[in-house]
Amino acid sequence: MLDFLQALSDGVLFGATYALIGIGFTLVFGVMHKINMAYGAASVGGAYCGLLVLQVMAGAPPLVVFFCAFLAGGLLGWLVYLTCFHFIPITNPLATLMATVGMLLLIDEIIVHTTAGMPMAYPAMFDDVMLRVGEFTLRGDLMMVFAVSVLCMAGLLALLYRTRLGLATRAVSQQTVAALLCGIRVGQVNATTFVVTGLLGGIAGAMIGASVGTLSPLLTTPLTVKGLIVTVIGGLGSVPGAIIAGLMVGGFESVLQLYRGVTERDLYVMLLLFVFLVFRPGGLFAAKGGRD
Amino acid sequence: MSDTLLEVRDLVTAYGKIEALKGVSLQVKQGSITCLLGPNGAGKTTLMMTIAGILRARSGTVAFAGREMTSLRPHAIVASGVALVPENRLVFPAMTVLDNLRAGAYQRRDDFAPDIEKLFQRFPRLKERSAQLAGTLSGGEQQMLAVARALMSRPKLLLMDEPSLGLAPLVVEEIFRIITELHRDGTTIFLVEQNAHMALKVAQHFYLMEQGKVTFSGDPGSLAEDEVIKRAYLGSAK
Ligand SMILES: Nc1ncnc2c1ncn2[C@@H]1O[C@H](COP(=O)(O)OP(=O)(O)O)[C@@H](O)[C@H]1O
Ligand SMILES: [Mg+2]
Repeated sequence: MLDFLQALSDGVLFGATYALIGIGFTLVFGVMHKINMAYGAASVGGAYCGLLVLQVMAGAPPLVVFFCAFLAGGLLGWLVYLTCFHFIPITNPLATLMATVGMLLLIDEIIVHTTAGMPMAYPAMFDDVMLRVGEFTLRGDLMMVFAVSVLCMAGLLALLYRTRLGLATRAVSQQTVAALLCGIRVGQVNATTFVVTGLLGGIAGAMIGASVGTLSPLLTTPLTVKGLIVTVIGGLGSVPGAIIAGLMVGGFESVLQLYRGVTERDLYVMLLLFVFLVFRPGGLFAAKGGRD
Repeated sequence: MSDTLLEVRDLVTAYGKIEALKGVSLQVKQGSITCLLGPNGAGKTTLMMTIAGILRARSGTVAFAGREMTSLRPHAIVASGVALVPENRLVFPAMTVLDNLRAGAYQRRDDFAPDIEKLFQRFPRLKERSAQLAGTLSGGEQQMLAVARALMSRPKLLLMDEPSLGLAPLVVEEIFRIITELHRDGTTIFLVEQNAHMALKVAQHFYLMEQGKVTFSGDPGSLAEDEVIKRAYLGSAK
């Protein structure tokens, strides 16, 4: 029982990073009704860019690394928007999808080439802190990951529900033509969405690096798959859905890793997705007042 | 003509190869209610969407207050003082009534709280439901919201695409009451309607459109109402 609780809490804490990735997929889908397949790779890429700081300034505090990953993620998000969406015909459903798949492979290749495919150590904070309640422990670094992720989510929700830009973003995602008629520049909103989701992705990548201790090019594919699973389970276009689904998938895979081992656990995550697709295909929060 | 607020000339708009507007010319006079009637598929919505900048014209021009605006983007058209209440209302369903109104004021940098207060006086039902999601409103309430949202940009010209579509007779009457009120308060209105009877009562001028062309232009008295209605619903061939 204790093992179970331990695995569950570790997993839920780590799941906050999945939630961030899920939010990135779901927000772009909500606004543009497109999947950005490059998102997971760009997030890992952002996290790698954070490491560049250590090259310039050896021994820079982890917080600086995280912040640079955050900024680099935003920049990459904007680049993905420019290369895969801005100049590509939006009306063709496959064009942008294939462009982002191309971008995924490109980012992946760049990471492999610059790091020679070797994992790189990633800084963490509070990794020497352990909160003990009897046998039950809470890892300091995981709590930091969780706290940072929750902070980012809170920031995003405040942006969406408290600002003029958020109002425009919600308007575009619910009714694009009406948004245009209100004088909202849809192109700008789309671009900003990519930057904002990129920022979240950069921090998510950094948090994954921080909790695992290393960053490796092998991360991009599983992260993309997990992100998409979280998005579907949460309900395409639903931010709260992505948050809950992210925590849920994190807890679920951690518990199954405990009982079935690391090699089998992803199988069960797929199974979870399967169960959702069969019994609740709209996800936890089927998009309310969706596009059609 | 100095009192022409909107001037559409030889406008052609196409969906792919199919021309929905085949050279439309018409004018809306400053301070008037001008009405556009025509059967389904005549191209009325296409015309409205082209004026609002959502659709691009293939050729022809749209001038507003003497200024060419054919090539302008929608946000610039809103900024110049034209607002469209679109067909089927198109409210933001998962946003509150209040947020819908805020979205309508998106381009305004001044304080628009007094406008919201004023609109709430005009539409008391919206005030009662200001915190409710727009998607949960009745059809009539959504129509009121769509009108109120368009008014938030303080337009000089209000385009309305079939505001009475699918509404109960009492609600239709209320919509028309609001149209005359807005007109009295100085807004010029260009109205697309299926309800020819009501439209001819409020309009000073009307156009008939069939198959992408304007086929008649006149004052409400200039053509027998049943003839107008016949052509508005069925086209000239009957
Ligand atoms: N999105 C579209 N794609 C292709 N054809 C369209 C589209 N929208 C309208 N049409 C066609 O253009 C013509 C005019 O349509 P519309 O402007 O909606 O007419 P109205 O508003 O007068 O009923 C119709 O023949 C219609 O089938
Ligand atoms: Mg129409």
